[in-house]
Amino acid sequence: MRPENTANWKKSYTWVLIANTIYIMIFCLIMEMFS
Amino acid sequence: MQQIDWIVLSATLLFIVVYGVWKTKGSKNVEDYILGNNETPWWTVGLSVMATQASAITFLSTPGQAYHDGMGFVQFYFGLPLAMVVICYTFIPIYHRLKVFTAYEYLEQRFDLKTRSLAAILFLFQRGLGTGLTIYAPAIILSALLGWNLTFMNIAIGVLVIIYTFVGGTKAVNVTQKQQMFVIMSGMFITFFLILHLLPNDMTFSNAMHIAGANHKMDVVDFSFDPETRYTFWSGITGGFFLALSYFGTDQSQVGRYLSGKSVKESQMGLIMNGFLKVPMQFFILLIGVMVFVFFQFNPVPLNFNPNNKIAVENSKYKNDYHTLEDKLDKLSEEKKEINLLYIDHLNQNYDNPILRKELVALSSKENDLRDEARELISKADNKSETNDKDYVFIHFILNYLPKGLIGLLLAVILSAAMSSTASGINALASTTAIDIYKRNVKGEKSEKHFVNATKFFTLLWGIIAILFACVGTLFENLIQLVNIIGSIFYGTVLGIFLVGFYVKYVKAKAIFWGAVMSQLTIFYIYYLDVVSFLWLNFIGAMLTIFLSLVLQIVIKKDRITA
Repeated sequence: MRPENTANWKKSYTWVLIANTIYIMIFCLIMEMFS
Repeated sequence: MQQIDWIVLSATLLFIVVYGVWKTKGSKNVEDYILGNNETPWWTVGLSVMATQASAITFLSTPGQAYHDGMGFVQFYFGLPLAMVVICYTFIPIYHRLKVFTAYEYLEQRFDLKTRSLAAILFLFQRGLGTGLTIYAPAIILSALLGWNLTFMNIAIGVLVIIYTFVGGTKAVNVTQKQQMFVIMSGMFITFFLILHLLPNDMTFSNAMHIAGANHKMDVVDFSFDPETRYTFWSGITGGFFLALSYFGTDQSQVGRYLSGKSVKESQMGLIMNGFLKVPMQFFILLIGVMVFVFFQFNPVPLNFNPNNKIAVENSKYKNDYHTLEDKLDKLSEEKKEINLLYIDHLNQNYDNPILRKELVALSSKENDLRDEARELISKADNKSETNDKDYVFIHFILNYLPKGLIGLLLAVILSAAMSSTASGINALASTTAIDIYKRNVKGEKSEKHFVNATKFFTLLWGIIAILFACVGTLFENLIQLVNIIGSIFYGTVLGIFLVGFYVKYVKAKAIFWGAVMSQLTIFYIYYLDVVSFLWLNFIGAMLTIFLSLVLQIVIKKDRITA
């Protein structure tokens, strides 16, 4: 493996967490609509 | 199975094996064979990580889980993205900096040889059993439904995997997992749309979701703190996080996938891809199960999906009682079908009828009671039988309702999933045995070729052990539970060792080794006392290892100062 600066990837980390928070919000919305 | 199904199934599997061998033969050195020469791009790393985790049981069991218990199981994966971030941020840069071939190599550099050997042996024990299961679990289900010989299936799956894993090592595992994921996801998408097509004519996807919701199958997120409920938002975030951290961060079958990345960035991006896609992928697989549930609201449904259970009752004195229950279920299904059709009619007029919803709930409850009674009869007829039929729901649907050709494709999906997990398992077992045990203890200077051949030999050896374990699988009453328990017992200690290594600089070799040994013994005792669910043993094991090693380090330091 070649060494690389990991700082740029902090943005991706944040996006993963944001994306998963949005998924959970969508799941709650689906529950609200159909349950 | 028609001829076309056989052609689709054989052509798909053979293509993957031949392509894997052809693309990756001729490894020159250990780095090439174990790390794939660090040439793997991020998206292959990501697909490989996902294919390794998604075993055949994922595609057989998960839809069945949704059929019986709804979408709540997806919460179990809520902690995974957070674990991916922690691994990308901490684990990957450290593994890279130390240029390791296996995760356990790091432990010798941070602590000492005996800590490395302890973690490697715990891994070999648990993954050795687990890899046998990844072959056995789909083989037992497919042999029950298709009448195929179980031993032949175990050997066929095992041999196909050994061929390309032996020839191409990690590169072959990664290359074939790309094809396998393509087959798996296309098969699942086609099935999803086909189920929607098989639903009654005037039924929209939204109506199907309403029917699922009326039957409590769409209760996706549960924020309650009820300890009786296994899958909640909180247990997913905490338990799921620790399990994912152990599995992706310390299990060589996963670590080996991202260590083969072209660079740190590519390895991280592969795991980030998993963090983005895992939750929606599991949601989608569960949704397929829910749509299968909706499908069976309009089609004949068996009392128990496992055909062996029915045979067991048919050959017992409870045969007539079982037939009575079947008649009751048929009548109930007819009643449900009529109410569902009426409910759809009202939905099409934009009216979500609460009275019909209540009736549907009441009928579902009656159906569950009938199924419980059937399970009791099955247990009385054969007390060794597994009455939980969730593993058989989806395959029952595939074999009875999918068109010719697609059955072959879906069987290819299940076997591809089995092969992808098995290949990663065998590859990781061979790498760990060769690097952590053999290379570390062999005397004298040996050539690169010697170690490539040794790793190949261990690949063959572990492949044969996995097949043998799969062949004696029937000797154990509940194999899946057994392997899950073994995993929970050992994973916690190994994770604890790694967490101390990464985050607690104060703790040194002697303290972590004895702390880990004491923690492992305590976990054995807690398991023996049976005071907590085995699902929590992982978390307890990790915390105990950290705590005990800290205490021991303080004691050791004090002793030195006094001396």
